[in-house]
Amino acid sequence: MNLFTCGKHRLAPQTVKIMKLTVFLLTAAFLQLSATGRAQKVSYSGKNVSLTTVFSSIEKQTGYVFFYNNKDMKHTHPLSIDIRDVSLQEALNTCLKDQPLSYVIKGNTIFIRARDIPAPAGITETVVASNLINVKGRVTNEQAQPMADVTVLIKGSNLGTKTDAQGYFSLSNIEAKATLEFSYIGYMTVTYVVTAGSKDIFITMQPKAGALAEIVTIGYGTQKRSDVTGAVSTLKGSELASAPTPSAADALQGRVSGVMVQKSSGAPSGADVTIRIRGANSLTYGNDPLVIIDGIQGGNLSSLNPNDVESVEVLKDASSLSIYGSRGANGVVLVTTKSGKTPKPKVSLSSYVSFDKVRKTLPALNAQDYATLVNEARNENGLDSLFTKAEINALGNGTNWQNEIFKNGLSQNHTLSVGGLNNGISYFFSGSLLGRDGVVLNTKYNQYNFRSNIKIQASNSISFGLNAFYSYDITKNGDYESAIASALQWSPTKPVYDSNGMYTQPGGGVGPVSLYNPVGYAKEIVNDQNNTALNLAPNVEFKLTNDLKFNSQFVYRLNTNFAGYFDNQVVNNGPASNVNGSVTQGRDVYLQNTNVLTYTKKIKDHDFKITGVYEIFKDQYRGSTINASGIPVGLGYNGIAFGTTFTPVPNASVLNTAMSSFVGRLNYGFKNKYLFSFSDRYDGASQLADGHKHENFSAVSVGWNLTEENFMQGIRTVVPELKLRASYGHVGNAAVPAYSSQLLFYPGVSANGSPTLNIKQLANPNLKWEKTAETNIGVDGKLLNRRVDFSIEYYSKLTNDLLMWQTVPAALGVSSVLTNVGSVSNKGIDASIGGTVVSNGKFRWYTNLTINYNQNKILQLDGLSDTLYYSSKADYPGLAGSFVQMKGQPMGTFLGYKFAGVWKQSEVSTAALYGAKPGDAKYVDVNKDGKIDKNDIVVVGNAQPKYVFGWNNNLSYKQIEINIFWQGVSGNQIYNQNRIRREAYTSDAFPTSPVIKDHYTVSNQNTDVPAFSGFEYLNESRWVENGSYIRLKNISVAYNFGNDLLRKTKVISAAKIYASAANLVTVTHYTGFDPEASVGKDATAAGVDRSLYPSQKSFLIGLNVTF
Amino acid sequence: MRTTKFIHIAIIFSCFCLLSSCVKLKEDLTGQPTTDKFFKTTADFNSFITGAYSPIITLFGTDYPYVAGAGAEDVHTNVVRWKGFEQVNINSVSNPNEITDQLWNAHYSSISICNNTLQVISTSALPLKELTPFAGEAKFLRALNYFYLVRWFGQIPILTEANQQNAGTEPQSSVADIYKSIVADLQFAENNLPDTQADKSKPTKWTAKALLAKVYLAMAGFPLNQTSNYALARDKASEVISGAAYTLNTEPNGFFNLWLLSKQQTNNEFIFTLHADRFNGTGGWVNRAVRPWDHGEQGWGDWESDKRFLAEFPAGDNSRVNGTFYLTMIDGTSWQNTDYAQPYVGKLRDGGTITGGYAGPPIGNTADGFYCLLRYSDVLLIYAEAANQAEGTPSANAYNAINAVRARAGLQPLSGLSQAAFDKAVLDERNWEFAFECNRWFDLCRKHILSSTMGSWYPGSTIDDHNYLLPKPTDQLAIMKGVQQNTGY
Repeated sequence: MNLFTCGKHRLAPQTVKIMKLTVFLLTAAFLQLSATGRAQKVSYSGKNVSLTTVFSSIEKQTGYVFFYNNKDMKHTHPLSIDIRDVSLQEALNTCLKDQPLSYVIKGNTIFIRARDIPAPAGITETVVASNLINVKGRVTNEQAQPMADVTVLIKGSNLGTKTDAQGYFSLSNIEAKATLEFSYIGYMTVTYVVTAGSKDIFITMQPKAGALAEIVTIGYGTQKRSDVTGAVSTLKGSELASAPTPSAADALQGRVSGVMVQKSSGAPSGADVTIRIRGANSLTYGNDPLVIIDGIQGGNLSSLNPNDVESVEVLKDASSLSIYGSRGANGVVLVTTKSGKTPKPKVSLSSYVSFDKVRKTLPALNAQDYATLVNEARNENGLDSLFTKAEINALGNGTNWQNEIFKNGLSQNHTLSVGGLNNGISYFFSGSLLGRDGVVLNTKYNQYNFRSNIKIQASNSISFGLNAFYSYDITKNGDYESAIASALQWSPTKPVYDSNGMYTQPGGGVGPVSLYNPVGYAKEIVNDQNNTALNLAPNVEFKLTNDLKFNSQFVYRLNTNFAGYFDNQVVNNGPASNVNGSVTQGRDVYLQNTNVLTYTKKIKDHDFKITGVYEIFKDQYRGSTINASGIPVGLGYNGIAFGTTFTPVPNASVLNTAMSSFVGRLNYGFKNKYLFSFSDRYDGASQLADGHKHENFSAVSVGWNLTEENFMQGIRTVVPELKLRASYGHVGNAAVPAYSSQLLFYPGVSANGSPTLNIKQLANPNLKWEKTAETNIGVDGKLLNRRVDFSIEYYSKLTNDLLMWQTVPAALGVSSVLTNVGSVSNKGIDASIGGTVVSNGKFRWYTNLTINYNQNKILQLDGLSDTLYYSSKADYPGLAGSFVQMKGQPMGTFLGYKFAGVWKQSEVSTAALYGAKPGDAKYVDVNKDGKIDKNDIVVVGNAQPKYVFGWNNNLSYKQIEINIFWQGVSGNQIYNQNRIRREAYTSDAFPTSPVIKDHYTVSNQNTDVPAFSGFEYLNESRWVENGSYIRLKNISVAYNFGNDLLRKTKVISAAKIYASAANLVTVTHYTGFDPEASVGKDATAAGVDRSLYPSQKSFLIGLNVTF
Repeated sequence: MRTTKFIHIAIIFSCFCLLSSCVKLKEDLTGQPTTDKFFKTTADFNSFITGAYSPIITLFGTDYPYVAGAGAEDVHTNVVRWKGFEQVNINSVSNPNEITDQLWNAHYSSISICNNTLQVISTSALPLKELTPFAGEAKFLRALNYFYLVRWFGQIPILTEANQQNAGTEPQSSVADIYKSIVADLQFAENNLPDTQADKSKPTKWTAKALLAKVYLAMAGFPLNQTSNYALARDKASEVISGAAYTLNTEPNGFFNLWLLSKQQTNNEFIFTLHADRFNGTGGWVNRAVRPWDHGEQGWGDWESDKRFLAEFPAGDNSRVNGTFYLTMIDGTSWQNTDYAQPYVGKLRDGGTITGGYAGPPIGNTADGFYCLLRYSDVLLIYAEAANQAEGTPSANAYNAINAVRARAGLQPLSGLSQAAFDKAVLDERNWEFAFECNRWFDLCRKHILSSTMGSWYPGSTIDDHNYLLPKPTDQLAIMKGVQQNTGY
C-alpha cells in the first residue's frame, strides 16, 4: 500500500513529512510515555523569514512538532522577529500575531490552523482544528483477549499508533471522519470509520488463514498451525493468566481438551496436582506427561510462574509424540517462556493477595450428643454408661476439632518482569515470590523464582542464547495429615488442653486410641522441606545456509532437596529419650544436550522440512537420611548430631541413568493442501535390561486442508477453514528408576548387632519399554466467518508390555517383580469448541468448551490372574484387598460387599437365614447362595472419570473484563474412607458424624445406619460415593484503566485491577471435603479420600501494571 | 561460502561423535552388594542369612499370629472384624486376607532367603567347612517356617533352592511330604549347627533338636497321626534334656522375669527367640495391642485373654499367673473394672524402656520386643507327652519332666495317673504354661479336639475339620497356580 496517496485524500508533501514525524512522536508518546524534559525557552532572530522557517527552528529547539496544512501557509506573510529566551507560548504568540492563524498545543505537537476562516467548501483535506478529535479504544482477538502491538493507522497516512499490552490505543487530533486500519500479522485487517461521536472504539480481530497463520511449537521445532497433522493444543500465556493461579499446573485445568488436571489435595505447596493426557496408560510408572520448558526436558509445572509463560503446547497423539520416543507415551507439555520484544524495556508487575478458607467442613457431633450416643452404644452392647447425666449436661458443645485445626489462610503472589529487544539482544528477566499460608494450622509455603532468557543475534547466521531459571521453595508444616485424621475422629468431649496446659491424651473410652491430639500434631511436629532448582541452558543456533539450520542446546539442571523432621514428644507426653528427628538431603544433577539440524526447502508447490536430532541425557541422584532419637528437645532437627540413638543403618543412595537418542523427521506439504509427516526415534536407556536397551519409535501422519480445494470456494464464508488429520504411531514409557532390571538389596542390623541383608528387588533380565500404539483422527475448522472454531479428535491407544510390579509368590523373597506384562487401552474423544457469542461494539462474549471422554480399560493383567491385589496406603484396617486392578475394568477398581441398608424387625426371619438380626447391615447376596461371604464381594466403584470438561467464558464490556470458568468431571466414584471411623461403630473409635444419630433402634427402623450392636463389614459399598462434580473454578472481574488516565501518570502504560474467587460454587453429591481429593493416583489408591488436606475457597484481589 | 558450510557441518558431526562416546548405557551398580562383589567372606554370608529373621520378627511383633490362633481358649478379641477367628467361624471374617496374607508372606519370604543362602553356598568358592554352619542355620529357619505354614495352611508347595523360581507353578505337596522335608532340614541342622552361638537369636544344634522334637510330636498327631513319631519326639527331647544346654528359670519370680525385655538375653530357658528392635525396622506393636486403653494403660485393646481362661488357670503359688497375665492396671484398678473386663496379657507387654517397659504406659506405636518361639519347659512337656504316648504309660522320667514345670508354678506334683489322664494333664499344662505363645491352637488341632473343646466354649458354633486350617490368601492363590484353596473356604 502506498501510504502517500489514498483515493481523493491527497496530502501535500509538507504535511506528509510532518505527519511522519508526528507518527513517530505519537507512537513514542502513547507507547512509551517518556516524559523527558525539553528546552522550553525559545530564541530566534531573523528578518523577512518565512513562517515555516521559524517553525523549523522552534522544532529544533523545543522538540515540539508543528502540524499544519500547506494551504494555510499560502495566506501567511514573511516576518521579522527577535526573541530571546522566551517561552514557547510567547514565541508562538509573537510569530502568529499578524498571521491569519491560531495554534493549539497538544502533547508535543503544535497544531496551526486558520484563524476564524471557515474552510472553503469542497476542500476536505483542510485540517481544521475544531474537527480534530481524540479517539481511544481497545483491540481484542477472536477469543476476547487483548491484543498487544496491533498497528492502528489512519488510512491514507502513515499516522498511527500501536496497541499496548492490554490492547488499548488512543489517537489524538485526528480527523473526525478518518478511517482507521487495524492490522496484525496473521489477522485480517479491520477498517473502522471514525465519526464525531466515536470516542471508544472496540475492535475484534479475526485470524486469517494461510501463510501468516499461527505458529505452533512442536517437538524440536515449530510449524504453522495449518500444517500440523498431529493433535496439538495451544494455550496462550494470556489465557493462562486470565484466572490467577499459583502455578501453571493449576492453570491448565479444564482449558485443554484431552488433558485432565486433578488437584488431589489442598496443601499449600500445590504439588499434589495430577496431570493426565488422554487417560493413564501405565499401571506402575510414569503417567505424568513429559514437561519441556524452553527445550529443557523434565520441567516442573508446579514451580512455573504462569506470568512467565508465552504459550503452552500440549502434544497428544503419537505423530506429535513419537519424536520423543520412549518419553512420549504420556503426552508432552511444551512450554515457551517469554522473551523481550520491544525496543523500550517493558516492565510489568503482577500482584495478588488471596484470602483462603476451607471450602467445607464436615458436620460433627457436639459433645453432649456424642456422650449420649457413647452411653447408648455401650448400653446396647452390655457395657456400663461412661458418662453420668450430670457430666453430659456439663459438656455443652465441647470441642469442634475441625475448627481447632482449620483457619483462614492468606496467600500472596508478586511477579516483576522486564523484557526488551535492542541491537539484536533480546532479554527477559522475571522474579516472583509466592507465599501461601495454609488453611490448616501451621502449614506454610513460600516460593521464590527467577528466570532469565537472553538471546544475542551475533550475526546474520549465528545467535547465542541462555535460558536460566532458579527456584527456591520452603515448606513449613506440622504433621497436618495426622492432625486432619485425628480431628475427624477425636471426641468432642475432650478439650484441647488439660488442666495443666498439656495436650489432652487419647483414651478414656472415647475417641481413637491410636491417634493423638489434633492440635498437638499440627503445632508440635516439625516437618520442613525445601527444594532448589537451578537450570542453565545455553544454546547456539547457526544458519548454515538459507535452508539449513543447526541448533544446539546444553542443559545443566541441579535440583536439591532437604527435609527435616522433628518430634518433640509433646503431643504424646513421651520421654526425652524418645525425642526424635531426621534429616534428608538429596541432590540431582541432570545434563542434557540436544542438537537439531533443520533443512527447509520449497520447490514449486512442494514444501519439505527435514529435521535430525541427536540428544543425550545423564542424570545422577544422590541422597542420604539420618535418623536419631534422644535429641535434646530444644535443638530441633538441626541438633540431630546430639542425639543419643541413631538408626544404625543410614540411608544413602546413588542412582545413575543415561539415555541417548537419534531422531529423524520429514514433513512434506503439497500446495498447503496435502500434508504428510514421518518421524522416527531410536532411543537407548541405561535402566532397561541388557539387550532391551534400544528401541525404535516411529509415526506417520497425513493432513488435508480442505479449504484449499476449489470445491470449497463457494462456502468459504461459512467454512473458512477445515482440515482433516489422521495419524498412527508408537511411543514408549521408560519412566523406571535406575537399576530397575537389577537384583538389589537393602542393608540392616539385627537387634543383636548382626548386619543383615535383605532382597529389595529381584532382577529382571527382560525388562524393556512399555509401548503404546496410538491412532488419532481429527478434524479442525472454523465456521461462520471464523466466529466459531472447533476441533474434534478421536483417539485409540493400546499400551502393551506394561511395566508392572507383578505380584509374585512370596517365596521369591519379594512381593513383586517389575515385569513387562499386561495391556491397557484408552479410547476417547477430545473436543473443543469456541466462539464469539456476542460482539457488538462494547460488549463481547467469547465462550469455549473443552470436553474429553475417555474409556480406560485393562485388557490384560499379569496373565496369571484377572485381579491384581496390591497392598497400598489405601488399605485402611479392614479394607485390605478392596483396591485392585481388574481385567475388563478401568484402573482403580473398588471391591466390597454391596450394602443394602439395615435389616428391619419385619425382616427378622429373612435376616436369620443369613445369620443376621435386625439392626445388622444388610448385603446383597450377589451369587444367591443363601449366605453372605467373601464370594459376594463385587465391584462397587471405580476411580476413573468418564468425562472431563471445562467451560471458559471471557466477557468484556468497555474496560471491564469478566472470566467465568467452570470445570468438572463425571462418571467416577470416590471411596470415602474418612467416613468409616466417623460413621461406623467399631472398636477403633466412636463415630463423630451426626449421621450416627440416626442409628437403628427398634423405634428407629427406617434408617440405613446399622445398630450399635449391629454387625457390619467395613469393606462395603456404603463408603463409595459418586465423584462427579462441576465447579466454578474461577470467576474474576477486572477493570482496565483507560489510557487517558494512565498517560497522566507518565509512567504506567497499562493497568488492571481485578477481584477473583476460586472454587466459589461446587455442585456435587460427594460428602467429603472435596471431590478432587485422592490419596493416590492411577493404579495406586486413586479415588480414595482419607485425611487429605481440604481444598479452599479463595477470594483474591490483584493488580497488573505495565510500565 | 561452500567451504565454510562444510566446515560447519564437519564440526557438528565431530561434536556428535564426541558426545555419543561419553554416554554409556551399561549400568554400574556402584556401592551395591551385587553377587560379583558380595559373598566374599563368611561375614557376608552371615549378614545374608540374618536377613531371614526379619520377616518373622516383624510378623510376631504384630497381632497376626495371635489373631489367627484366637480360636483357642487363651485369646479373646474385641475387634469386630476378627470375631470370626476367635469364634472358630472364619467364614464369617469379611477379610481373612488381612491376617492370612501376613502369615503366608512372612514365612515364605524368610524361606526364600534361606533358599538363596543355600543356593549361593552351593556355588561359593569358600571352603565348605566354613559355610556349613550357615547352611545349617538356613535349613533350621526354613524348617521352622514350613512348620508354621503347614500347621496354618495345610498343603502348600515345598519350595527349595532347587525349585523356588517355579513358585508360580509348583504344585502343593501333601502334609506328609512337607513334614518329611522339615525333618530332613532339621536333621541337617542338628548335625551342622554349632554347639553355641554368641548371638542369642541364632540357633545352635540344640535348638534344632528341640524343634525337631516338637515337629515329631506334631507328626504323631492330626492330621498325619503317625504315632511312631512319639518315640522319636521323646528321644529328641531326651537328647536336649540330657545335653543340659538349657535350664528352667527357677529363681524367685523366675517365671515373671522371663517376660522382661531386659532379661531376655540372659535367661537360659529360651531356646529360640526373635528379637525386635524398633530402630532397626523390626519394631513391633503387639505390646500396645494387648493393653487396654483405660486406667493409664494407653493400649489399643486389640486382643486380650478370656476371663474363663483365667478362671480355669491353676493358681499354684501364683508365680505363673503373675507372669502370664496382667491383672492390675497402672493406676491400681483390677482387670474386672476395666472397660473390656477381661484379664490382660502379661507375656507380651514389655516393649522396652523406651516405650514404658513392663510397668509404664506405651508411648510410641512401634517398640522393641522379643517373641519366644521355643523354650525349655516346652521340651520337658514334649518329653512327658511323647514318652507317655510311646510307652503306653507315664514313666518316672515323664513325671519328672511335667512336675519340674509344675513345681516352678507352685503346683503339686502329679502321680499315679493313667496314660490318658497323664496325656490330658500334659495338654492342660501346656495350655497354661504357653498361653499367648501361639501354642494352644496348634495343640487343639494336633490332638484333633477343636470341636470337642471349643464347641462348648462357643456354644452354637459348628466346628468341623475345615476349621483346622486357615483359608489360603486369595492373592497368592491367584498367582500360585499349583495351590488350591482349602476345603470349606
